[in-house]
Amino acid sequence: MSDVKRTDEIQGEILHVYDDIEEADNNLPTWWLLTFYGAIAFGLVYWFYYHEYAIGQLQPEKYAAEVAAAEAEKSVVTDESLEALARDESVVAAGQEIFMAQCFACHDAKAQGRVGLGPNLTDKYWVHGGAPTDIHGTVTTGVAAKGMPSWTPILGEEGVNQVVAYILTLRNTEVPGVEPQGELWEPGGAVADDSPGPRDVDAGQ
Amino acid sequence: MKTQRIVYNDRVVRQFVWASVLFGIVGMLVGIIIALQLAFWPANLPPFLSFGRLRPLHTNAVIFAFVGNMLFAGVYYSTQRLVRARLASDILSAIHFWGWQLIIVSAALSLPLGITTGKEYAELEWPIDISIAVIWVVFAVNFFWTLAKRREKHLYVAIWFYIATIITVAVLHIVNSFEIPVGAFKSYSIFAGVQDALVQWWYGHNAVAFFLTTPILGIMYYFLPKAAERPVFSYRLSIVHFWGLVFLYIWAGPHHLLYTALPDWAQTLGMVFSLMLWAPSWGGMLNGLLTLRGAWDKLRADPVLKFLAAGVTFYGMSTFEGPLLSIKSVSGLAHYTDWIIGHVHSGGLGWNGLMAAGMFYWLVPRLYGAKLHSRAAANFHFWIATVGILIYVIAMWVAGITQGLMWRAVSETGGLLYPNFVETYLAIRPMYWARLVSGLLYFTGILLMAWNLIKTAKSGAAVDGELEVAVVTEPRERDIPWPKLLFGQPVMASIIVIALLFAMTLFDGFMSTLLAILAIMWGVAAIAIGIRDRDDEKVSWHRALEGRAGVFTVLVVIGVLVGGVAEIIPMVISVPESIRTTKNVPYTPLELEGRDVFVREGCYTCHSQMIRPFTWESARYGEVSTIDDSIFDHPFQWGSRRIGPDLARVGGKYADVWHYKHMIDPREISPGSNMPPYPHLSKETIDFAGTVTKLRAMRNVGVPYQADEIQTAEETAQAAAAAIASGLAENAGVAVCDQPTDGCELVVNSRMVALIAYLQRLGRVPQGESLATADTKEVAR
Repeated sequence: MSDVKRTDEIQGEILHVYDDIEEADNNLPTWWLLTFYGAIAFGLVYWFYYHEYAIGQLQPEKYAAEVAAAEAEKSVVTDESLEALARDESVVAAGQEIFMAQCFACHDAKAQGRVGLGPNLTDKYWVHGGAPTDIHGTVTTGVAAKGMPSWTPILGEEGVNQVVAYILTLRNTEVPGVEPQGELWEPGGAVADDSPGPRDVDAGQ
Repeated sequence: MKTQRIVYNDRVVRQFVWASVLFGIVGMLVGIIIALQLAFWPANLPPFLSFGRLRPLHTNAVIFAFVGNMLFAGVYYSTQRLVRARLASDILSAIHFWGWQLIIVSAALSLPLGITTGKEYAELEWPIDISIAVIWVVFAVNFFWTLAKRREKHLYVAIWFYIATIITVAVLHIVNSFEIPVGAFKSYSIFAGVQDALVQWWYGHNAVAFFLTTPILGIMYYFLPKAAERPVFSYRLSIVHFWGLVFLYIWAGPHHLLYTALPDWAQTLGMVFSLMLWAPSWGGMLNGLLTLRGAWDKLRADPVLKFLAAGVTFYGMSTFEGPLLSIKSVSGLAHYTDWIIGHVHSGGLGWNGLMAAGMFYWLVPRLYGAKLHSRAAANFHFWIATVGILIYVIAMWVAGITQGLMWRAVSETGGLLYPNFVETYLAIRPMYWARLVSGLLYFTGILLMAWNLIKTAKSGAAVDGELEVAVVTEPRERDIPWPKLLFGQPVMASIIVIALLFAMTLFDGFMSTLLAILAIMWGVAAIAIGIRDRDDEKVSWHRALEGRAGVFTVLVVIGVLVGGVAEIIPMVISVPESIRTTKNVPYTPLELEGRDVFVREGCYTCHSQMIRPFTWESARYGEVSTIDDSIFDHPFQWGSRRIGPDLARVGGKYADVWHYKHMIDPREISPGSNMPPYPHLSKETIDFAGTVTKLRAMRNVGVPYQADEIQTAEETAQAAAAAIASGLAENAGVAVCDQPTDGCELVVNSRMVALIAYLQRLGRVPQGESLATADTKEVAR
């Protein structure tokens, strides 16, 4: 460092020199200081708002409230309402689209099933019951043990109804595929014993 | 006056420069390969060169090999000149150089082999971790010894940044590498789940801060005014932004864990400290750019200044984007997406890469006493690099925001609009191709630079810098005014403010408000007094401090430790209690082996295990993740990017056959997927005789395995593997066998079987009895 004091015409007075690098000492830009102080103030306010006084809701509480609200808005489906949907072509078409995107992986493109993954949905035999509400129940809650997930969270209530409507149109079309599994079920047959009948649609909890 | 000639050790600087150029090329080449793999899956050549293994190689190579060697070159070159002393020891310098290269080579060999700890940017296994610590200490000794021999009493701002770098990286690396070895190439982190997550991101974030930022700021403070031949804008700005960065950076780690199972108080600290970091970061940018006042016209002709100015500008851009991304609601959209990837590359390619190029173009001609071979080529390099970065960053913004919005989009029917994860990948795939193009542009620039530098070096000959200095006959004054420096007004004021803020968190309501107000008043008063007395003292407090390297270092250590201690200690205290009260039970032996496969293949580079509290997220992946879910995880595997779906609750969602088929050929189950195929896993066997050691190591880090569980680990694992394999044989007709032979599709003791066991366990916590309940019963008896 040399002791020669110099004043640069742009940077002002030179304070120090190291290895020929000169160091001036300009004031801190005001706007810069304000952003700094502002961020510190924001931090304190935020802490008090969400933690000290808990005025604001943090995400876990907000989430719990949203889940509770969704829980309150459940709807009821019946065999008749589902059969009616199965007669609506636009609903069935929407259901088919969902099927090709989601169900295809395990039940294959024509719903003929895949060995070891999903059963054939085109025969007369049903593992978890063939009544419309049975199928609706299977799609809604899934069969965790067999690897079928609950579909309501993914498809939504309407989406589940659409895909069930599509599946209802496939019953007894007998596409060659996986061998029949489960119990025989004929149209008009009883709702399976182990299913609680018309059921609530919930988030699959 | 007697004078003496000192010759600087520029040999080691040259070595580091060339090593940086070489490993820059290698690291970026790997980057291009993995960019291609994301857009075009057949580019995965299993098992050694699949994405999960190459991605850690890319990050480690560019961070520790390219930037690492570059910063050592810059630090050694500038420090010698700023303190007017040759590096203290030629031997230590040589050990530092060769030791570091050895570490890089061992990283390049071990990562593709799947030898990894599974912690991002700290993947290297324990023997390499120890080598890194040793070599870093060699660097520290060499550096501080040089400072001790300095002929310049006061330390220039660049040196402050180097001190902060050396101290903090040592602390971060050592703490984050606490692990228990299981054999020569495997270890388990001693931290559990949420603890490990916090420590890892405290490390990860501050590796960015103190490896990629502070040393480069020091380098900027030396090379930018040198190249511009202009005075540095403001000494006082450098003081404020230096201490701001040192103190604030450490706290910001949790912004990588917003909306995770990390306690909310820690998340909030991560967010608000990140916002406070904005101004100190911009202080560095301002001091750089405003130093160019009066030299902007030189930019037109001089490639060096172009690179440095653009580098500093990108620094400003990414340090604005960083705090923005740390705002919780922004993170909710951007986290796990490519926006983050774009952000790190605007820092990596823009700040580090351009600063490196600028420094090399300035340095190599001087190290070889020659003129830069081609100014035009350097200018061309600048333009393709800049265009490359811009394309990269824009592509990643588009990809990240698009995918983030698709994940949360809800359809009219009330379900997810894009329930198939792969749809959200296919939508952004064009951006991956754009990224590849941008990477190729940048890479071309680096190749051009290498050629230009080699030509330059060949046209001259290696020269070492020399300086005529006065011989100091009187012994240097050694008395350090400790009380004045350590208990001076600025330190005391800071301590009181921090203490009041800490006290604030311990109280509720009125008391905490009072303490906060006191803290603010004290801080404002201290600043006001400081401004009033500014011109009174002949030598300011900070100026005196700059003359005492030891005290300066002590204060840096204290400043850096406060944030880490404040966040990590509560977690160290609370987690053992969580382990006692959890109903979760440790992984079975086979699941543990499967977990090791998951880590080994780098699955965490594409799959998170952390479901955040959003309805659209729980709809897609299942119930929100809790601390309990990962309480026995060493290391944690929460992940940071979802190139594939979250796996936190994938257990039981699909049948074993689904996983088997999906791993053999992902596209058969999930058309359009970019996941690499893993058919080799079904033939690679695990020796369950070694499982006992793993359970024992896990017990040593606090996982409550019972003695009989450990003893029978081999048989238990064997039986569980046989059950899964026979299930696959029955349900899907897979040809199962005990040894890999012709016609065999799946070996019972294979990595595939273990991995399936692990995946089927994820999120399906068998509800056991908590240790706390068991203890109570014990007492009752």
